[in-house]
Parts: sequence; C-alpha cells; structure tokens
Amino acid sequence: MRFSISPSANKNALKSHAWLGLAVSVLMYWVCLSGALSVFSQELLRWEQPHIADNLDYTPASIQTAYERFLAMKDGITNGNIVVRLPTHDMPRARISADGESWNISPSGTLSEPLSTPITDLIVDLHVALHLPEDIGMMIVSMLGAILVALIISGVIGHRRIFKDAFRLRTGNNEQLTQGDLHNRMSVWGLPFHLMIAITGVYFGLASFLTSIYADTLYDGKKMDLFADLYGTSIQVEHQPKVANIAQALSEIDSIAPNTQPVFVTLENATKDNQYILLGSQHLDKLIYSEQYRFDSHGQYIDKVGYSDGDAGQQALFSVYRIHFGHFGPEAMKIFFGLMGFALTIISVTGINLWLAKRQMQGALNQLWLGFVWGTPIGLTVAAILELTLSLPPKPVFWLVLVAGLIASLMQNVLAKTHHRLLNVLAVLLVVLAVTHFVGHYPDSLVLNSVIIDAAFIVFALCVWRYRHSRVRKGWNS
Amino acid sequence: MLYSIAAFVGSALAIGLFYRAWQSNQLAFKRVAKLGALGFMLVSLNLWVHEYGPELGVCYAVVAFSLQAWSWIFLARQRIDKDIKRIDLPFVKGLGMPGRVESVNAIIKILACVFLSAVCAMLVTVVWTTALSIGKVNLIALGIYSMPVLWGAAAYWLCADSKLWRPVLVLSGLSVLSYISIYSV
Repeated sequence: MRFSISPSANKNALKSHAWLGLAVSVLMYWVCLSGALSVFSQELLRWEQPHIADNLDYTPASIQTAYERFLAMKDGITNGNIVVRLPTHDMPRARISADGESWNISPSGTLSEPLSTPITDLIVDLHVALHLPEDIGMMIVSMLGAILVALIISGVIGHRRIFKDAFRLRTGNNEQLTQGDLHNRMSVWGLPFHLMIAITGVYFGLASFLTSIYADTLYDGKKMDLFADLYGTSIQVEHQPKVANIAQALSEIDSIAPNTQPVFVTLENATKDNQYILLGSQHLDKLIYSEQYRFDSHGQYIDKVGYSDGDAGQQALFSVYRIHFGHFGPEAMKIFFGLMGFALTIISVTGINLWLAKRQMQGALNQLWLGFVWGTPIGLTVAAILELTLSLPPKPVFWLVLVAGLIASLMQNVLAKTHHRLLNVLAVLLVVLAVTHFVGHYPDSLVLNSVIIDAAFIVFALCVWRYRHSRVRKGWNS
Repeated sequence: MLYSIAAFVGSALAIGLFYRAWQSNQLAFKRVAKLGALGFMLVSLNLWVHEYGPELGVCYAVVAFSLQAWSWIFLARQRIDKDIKRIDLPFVKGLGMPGRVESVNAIIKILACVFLSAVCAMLVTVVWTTALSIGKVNLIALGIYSMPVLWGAAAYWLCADSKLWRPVLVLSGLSVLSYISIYSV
C-alpha cells in the first residue's frame, strides 16, 4: 500500500500555507527571533549587570538576613507575596522581590542594588506580549502558536517531495532554490521541536479559556475547585509570626527532598497573619518547573503540593515552561534550543522570501519585508547600545529605529542596495554593542558570561558580514 | 556519560543510514537501510532514556536527532555554481491593494482562523476529552495539549478549502453541537 496525497490536496495545502504564513509573517518573525534570544534571558540578565558577582555560596542565614532587610525597607508591609529567587548553576545570583520591586542579594545577605535589566526585558517582553499590554499581547502570541500548528500541518501536506528531497540542500547562485531547500529541510527535520514550541506556546495565553469550559463541565462552574485539582489547594494557617523563618525551611529541605535544587522561596500572604513559606525545589530528573514544599512561618515543614509524584497530566502541565524555553539539562541544551529557535526564525523569513520571489515583481512589500527582517535586529541592537551609553528606555528606541528602518527601506527602490546597507549597519552595530558593553563595564566585563556574550555579538557580526560578502561575490550588489 | 555518547553515536548512525537509503537506487538496500536506521533510532532513544529518565531522555533524543540531521544536510550540501543569470524583477510602485471582495474574504478568513477555529477547537476538545474514562486532571492536560492541534487543523482547512462557506459552516455547526452537549446537560 502506498500513501500519497492527491495533487489538489497538495495545491490547496500550499495555498493555505502561503496565506497563513503571510497573515502572520511579521508577528511570527518577531516572536521567533525574540524567542530564540529569550532562551538566553538568564545569561543576558547577568550580562546587563556584570558587576554583580556570580556566586553559589549563599547560606540559609544570608538569605534570611536579606529577607529581613528587605522587609525592614518595606516597613514590614507588602501588598503581594515576597519571592526570593535562589542561586542556581544557570543563574548564580539571588534576588528578592515584592510589589514590583526587585533587589539583588549579595552572598553576605545585604541588598546590593535593584535589579535593572531593561535590555533583557525588551527582548523577553517582545516574545511574551509583543510590547502590548500583557493580557492582550500574550493572547496574540498564543494565537500565533495555533497558527504555527496550522502552518506545520499545511506544510507537511503541501510538501510533495518530503521524502525525495529529505537531504537535499542546494547552495550556489540560485538564491530561490537555496532558500526553498533551507525552508523545507529545517522545517521537516525540526518538526517535533516546532510542534512542541507551538503547542506549549498556546498554553501561556489561552489555557485559561479552556479551563473555564472544563470548570463548567466537570466542576459545576467552580473554577477554584479545578485549580485546586490542577495546581494544589492552598493551606490555611493562623497566628503566624510576621517575620518568617526562611533559614529553617532552607536548612530542612535537604533532608526532606535530597537531590533536588531549591530555586525559589515564596512567602504566601506575606506579612499577614496567615503567611506561610512555599519552597520550590527542582527535581533534576523531571521536566516540571519545581515541586513546592510548604512550611509554616516558623519554618516547620507542613507538606508538599505533589507535582513531582502527581498525575501524569499535572506533571505535563507543570513541564510547559521548561520545555518551551529549553531550561533543563546542561547549559548546552540552551544553545541547542537557541539554534532551533533561530532555525524557526530562518524558516519564517525564507517562507515569505519565497512567496515574494514567486510574484515575479518587486515592490513596496519587498521593501517593507526587508525593513522588518533586518530592521528588527538593528532596532534591538541600537536600543541596547543607547541603553548602555545614555540609559535611554529601550522599548521606544527600538520602535523608533524600526520605523526609521522601514521608511529608509521604502525610499530605496533597488532592493539589493537596501539589503547590503542594512547588513552593513547590523554588522557594525553588533561590534559597537560588544565594544560598548566591554569598555563600559570594564573590568567587570571580564567575567566569563560577559566575555562569551560579547564574543557572540562579534561572531554574529562576522556571520552577517560573511553573508553580505557572499552576496557581493555572486554579483548581487546592484 | 558513556550511555550519552552511545546514544549520540546511535542517532548519528541512524541519520547516516537514512542518508544512504535516500541516496541509493536499489530498493532492497533502501528498505534494509531504513529499517536499520529506525532500529538505531530506537536504540538511541532507549539509551537516552536509560541515562536521563523518560522525560529528559526523550527531549535529548529529539534535539540530538534534529541537530544531527541538519548538520548532515549541511555537510552533504550540493554546490551549484552554474552561471545562472540573475533576473532583476521589475519594480512596481505602490502596494497594489486587493479588491473589495478579496479584502472581505480575507477578513472573514482571518476572523474565522482566529476566533471560530479557536472556539470550535476548545468546545470540541472538551467534548471528546470528557468522553474518555480517565482522571479529571489527566483529561484536562490532554485537552490543553491537543486543543492547539485541532485549532491549527481548523485554521488550515479554512485557508485550504476553495469554498470558504464549507469550513465555516462545519466549524460553526460543530461549535454549536459541542456547546449544546456541554451546557445542556
């Protein structure tokens, strides 16, 4: 028996693929590019404040001291929960936050300085909510996840030579052929990854709609009962001391859950009579973000929520974050996820490039697309440079530069010239960014994390320059 | 560590065999090579799982396989340096706005892909998952993970069908039936 897709189904699938791809082109590109960079958000956080020493030698007592100092600074009252992020190998720094305020903690327990990461926020917020208000932005980004699934389905059905061309990559003078091969090979061989990114991406902004219907169906509309089943019930404690004994909880966790990595402490109902400690500890053989161990304010162990040995479904839901961002396993996994993310970015760009090439004409759409593709990294880089040098807010700078890039692209009718200028600008800016950061933060920028990231910018600049050079060599510069 | 190396080598061998099968013109060899590749893939997956447990093991297997395939494709790329004359496509000024009918059609399609497909996927997901005899938490998780696939399939159909009213009608009908099934009980 031979399985084949009829030519008409094939044709319709391609039509659908092109239509959907075009409809979400720019948004998909932004989400993919910023997503690939967001994989390294923890490294970027450290790169932005290289003078804060990376250290894993925090003691429970130093965390307790920091918490008490923070509490004193807030006059003993907070509106929301207090969260302490504990140092881990991938983020060897501790910080404490509440009511939108976040402070770095030194290993001695002092509050060293507020957390300030506008460049990382610029990238992560673009990925999470496209710089829109969070609720709307997250919904739009999640919808893109569903559209990505549709693109995957239509791509597979529409790819007539999926097996025949399984290993074919033709490079050389025929740009359209190369881009088509790149688009197809990267899509097909990365399919499980892309599908997983799309499905988990939908979860963040839209799962709440689905759970509302489930609550109506299975819990008589009682959403809190559904949440209790999925995320565990909250516990009731009374007459708790105002200052919690975090140190005691941190000291106990080793015996309660050996071979786990504590990652955060949350003071639920902080500073209230019913406050208690929630200690999140990562199980290194599982994908769930963490198991949550609960202690009363005295630091006495109460129970665990039970994600680590709960239903498979519960574990699957708690694994979404780490699967989506590749925050599991060794540091190399992040690099792999970053590469996969860049591949998805290339797929989204080459897809539109192919559609534009098939129009057999050039026009404003070509100019705008070029402006978006290269204007976005240029905007991100300029925003980062101006933040580092003049402390200008990165988000408005990014959008201004992008708009300027689009206008400039529209003013030049010879696309090759625009392309080469944008590549030149990007290559130079990437070098400037690395140098600005290195010089501006010297000698703190000599730490390994900063050196690697600055070097990565130089490598990216060389890649951009090489790409430009290869186009010039082929005579595609006029 | 040894298991990881063996797993990595195993999936590289699988890709290699797939490549040889793809290159070959002999049907018998193709079949044997593909079977061998599948075997190596399974062995590799088992080794990853043995070393890191089922959750991390499967992730490592997928990532390693994709990256090795891309590397293989890159290394085996064909360089075509024929002197192809680059055609400069004519430049047409303006955005070339679509007609009214086309625009209305496009707006309906977008709205249907975003809203109708979403509503239909969510309602149908709840109906089919609640029909399963598994625990509540598991069926909700199954729904959350499968709903985007239904949504994507619906959006695909909306854009693939030459007659837009067909998917719109069917998806609307399914939504209504699912709604009745959920809220009338």
